[in-house]
Amino acid sequence: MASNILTFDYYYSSGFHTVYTVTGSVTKEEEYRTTPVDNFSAFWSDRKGTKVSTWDIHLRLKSQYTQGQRLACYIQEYETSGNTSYSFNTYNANVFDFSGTFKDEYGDTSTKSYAVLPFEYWTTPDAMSCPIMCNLPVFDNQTHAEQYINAINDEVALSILELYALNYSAGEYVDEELKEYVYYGRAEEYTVDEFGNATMTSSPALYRGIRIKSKQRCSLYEIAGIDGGVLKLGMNFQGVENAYYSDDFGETWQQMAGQPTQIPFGYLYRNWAGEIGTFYALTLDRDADYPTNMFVYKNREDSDAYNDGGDNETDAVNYNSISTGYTPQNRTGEDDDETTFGVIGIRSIFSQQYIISEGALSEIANAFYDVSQGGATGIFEDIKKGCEMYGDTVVDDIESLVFYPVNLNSVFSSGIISQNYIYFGGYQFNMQHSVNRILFPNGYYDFGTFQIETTFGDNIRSYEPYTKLYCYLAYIGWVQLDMKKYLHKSVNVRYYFDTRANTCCAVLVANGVMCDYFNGQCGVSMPLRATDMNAYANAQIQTLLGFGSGVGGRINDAQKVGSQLAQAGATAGETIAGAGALGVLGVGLQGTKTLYGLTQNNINNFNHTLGASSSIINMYLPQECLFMFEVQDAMPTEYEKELVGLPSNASGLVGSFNGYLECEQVNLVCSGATAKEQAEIIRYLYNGVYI
Amino acid sequence: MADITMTLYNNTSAPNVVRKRITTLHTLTGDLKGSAELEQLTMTIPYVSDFAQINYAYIPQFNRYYYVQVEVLNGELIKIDLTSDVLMSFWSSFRNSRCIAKRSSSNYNLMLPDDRLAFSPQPTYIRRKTASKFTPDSSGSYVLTVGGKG
Repeated sequence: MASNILTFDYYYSSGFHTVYTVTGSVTKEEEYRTTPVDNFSAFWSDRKGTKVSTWDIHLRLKSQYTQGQRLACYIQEYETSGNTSYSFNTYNANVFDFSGTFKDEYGDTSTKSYAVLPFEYWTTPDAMSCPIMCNLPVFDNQTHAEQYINAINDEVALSILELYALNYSAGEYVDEELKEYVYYGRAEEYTVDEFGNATMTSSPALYRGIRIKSKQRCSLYEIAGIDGGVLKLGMNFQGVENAYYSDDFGETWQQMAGQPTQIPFGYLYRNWAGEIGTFYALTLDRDADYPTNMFVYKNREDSDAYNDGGDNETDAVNYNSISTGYTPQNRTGEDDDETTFGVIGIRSIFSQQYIISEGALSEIANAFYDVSQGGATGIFEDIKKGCEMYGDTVVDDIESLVFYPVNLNSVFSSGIISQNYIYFGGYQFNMQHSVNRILFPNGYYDFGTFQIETTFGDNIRSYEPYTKLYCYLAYIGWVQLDMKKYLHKSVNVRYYFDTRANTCCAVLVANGVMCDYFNGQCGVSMPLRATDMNAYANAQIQTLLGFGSGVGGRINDAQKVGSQLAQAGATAGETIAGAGALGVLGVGLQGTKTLYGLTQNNINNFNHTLGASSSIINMYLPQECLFMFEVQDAMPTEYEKELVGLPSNASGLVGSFNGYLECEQVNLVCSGATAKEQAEIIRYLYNGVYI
Repeated sequence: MADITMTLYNNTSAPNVVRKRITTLHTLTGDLKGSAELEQLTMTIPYVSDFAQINYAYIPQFNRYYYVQVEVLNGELIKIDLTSDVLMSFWSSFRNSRCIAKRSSSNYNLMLPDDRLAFSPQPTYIRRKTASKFTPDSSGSYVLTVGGKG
């Protein structure tokens, strides 16, 4: 029986300290020997070549004062008879022990192998809860360890490592993506990108010891139980038919039997490294050793969704660290296409539209009503004569005059031409002022871009029905938007104009994709003569009749109403030309009340009004685009969370939960309890217990 | 009946707390007379002055913790009724049971609906404007439509 074979010390420049010594207690050794560690974690090391054994002797190296110093250990004594060797592993206890085992006692007479040892140190005593791991070289004797520690520079230290460190050869086993690795450093800022290329990123790759191979997706998810700055990451193989793992960096692979839900390391650790947002990579070989990094999800549900083929890669907490910004393709195999908007290429040859200034309008009006003999603009005499030949009037050549609340010259900048004349029928009226003729009303007015973010962070309260998103659009009114379509997106609001129908169309574009559009009436028809006033009022009546009832229930029917508005606007234009005595009577009876009622409707019921009219009244209303979040105030405080928990749906061992636990289902495993007691345990778990 | 050992405690934790917060008061050794059920039993012990503090016990031979109800019989004897505390007694065993958590304070999913959330009937409104707006008073446009040549 071998005993007292190995004594480990650690050494650093200011002295030599024994931390823990295996003193040769046979009883203890027997205990270790017969207690295999069956659930050990991945080797916490930034170094490859680590050998993992399954017998655990708790040896731990720690130092509080090693910042910036090299460290080493050496074999103080060991038994050479019987082909004894040792190896080390990590032990799952939220701290990182390493331990030795004596292979010859278990019939293993293979070649000696030496581990790359993990070493746990912290930069300051205050940072003890957040240790940094490094590898610890094992030297064949104390002299070489001292030489290494006292090396004048890293180059000299490396040469000593190469010559005398027993575990250097193991550590030297480096595959392609780790070529740049320096033994005595840490493999920080190193990962594998989506394409299998070794790249430098901010994501340290600390789990090089373990590799997973599968043709299916698998991922990691965070498990509760943060302790000492370390977070457990669960391995998720849901939906995976065949998976293999390697703990020697791909040298040999072992297939996980059956449905691969269990591997020797049921979970891994993630070191917070003192800051949120540092995530480490785990290599996954998919399809012909195509290495990538495994995504880490906040919870099991997201991890399952990804494994099931979901397109939620970007939800992974380490996505930005390991993807180098690459946006994964969606489930259809194609990237999201941005919306391509159409171009207007038609126009009325018989009817022309001009964007015209007030000065130019005055010029036309003055000439129009010039009653002097042989007036300066005698052209209208000719027009009048021409019109009267066909039983028409001069003014009938003017189809409409409409006011828009925006500078259309800039909106239609590419579809207009400037000229200093207007054709009335076949007659050219030369003007002092220039006007812009609209050829094609292409272009839009940009209201700007708005980023839609959560009020409560990424949780259900940021979605409906707890949070609702509304948008006020000038000349359209309030509309409710689907929060899911806009959350975390940059929303551009743009207005398109139809100068033939006097309408506008507000388009909401989220991350380049059109999500909604709403029609409205923004053009105000200006009266040209007395009867036009009647038509104008009639348009208001129609508008009111169209929107006067059931306003609240129509808020989700924005597009339909918008199109009604467009029709109303077009109808108004017709009415201008054809208003008769009946129209006059109608206005005489209801006109004042109608305008008043419309105003009240738009102002008093502001939050519920949809649509607008082609009246000047609308210009009193807000001319802007306004996003409104209706947020339900709740109180899931920390205190309540500790008291009654939060919805979970997570599965796991009862002992893996902390604090409050209320079970949906339990498969009770309990020895020693009577049936009655077991029933009572289940009842407690269903009703909620505090662990 | 063989000797049994019983430790009496003062427990300050609620029944649904798995790991009770207990303070040792007395350790007694004696014989168990007659038969007893493991889950529930009654004993008579010598009088102790701090009997009012006793509300919890552990009997290692039974591998169980018990809730205790004390009844003073006279100046020399106290009757105690013991009912097993299944959570504390079998935690080390049933902690390895697999479960699906309905609610948890350590492993929860914020995307799940929470029927225990209480909401204010009056929602809060947060309004945000875009950068631009219409300015019809200063930059409106007249569009004149005229029948005629282009």
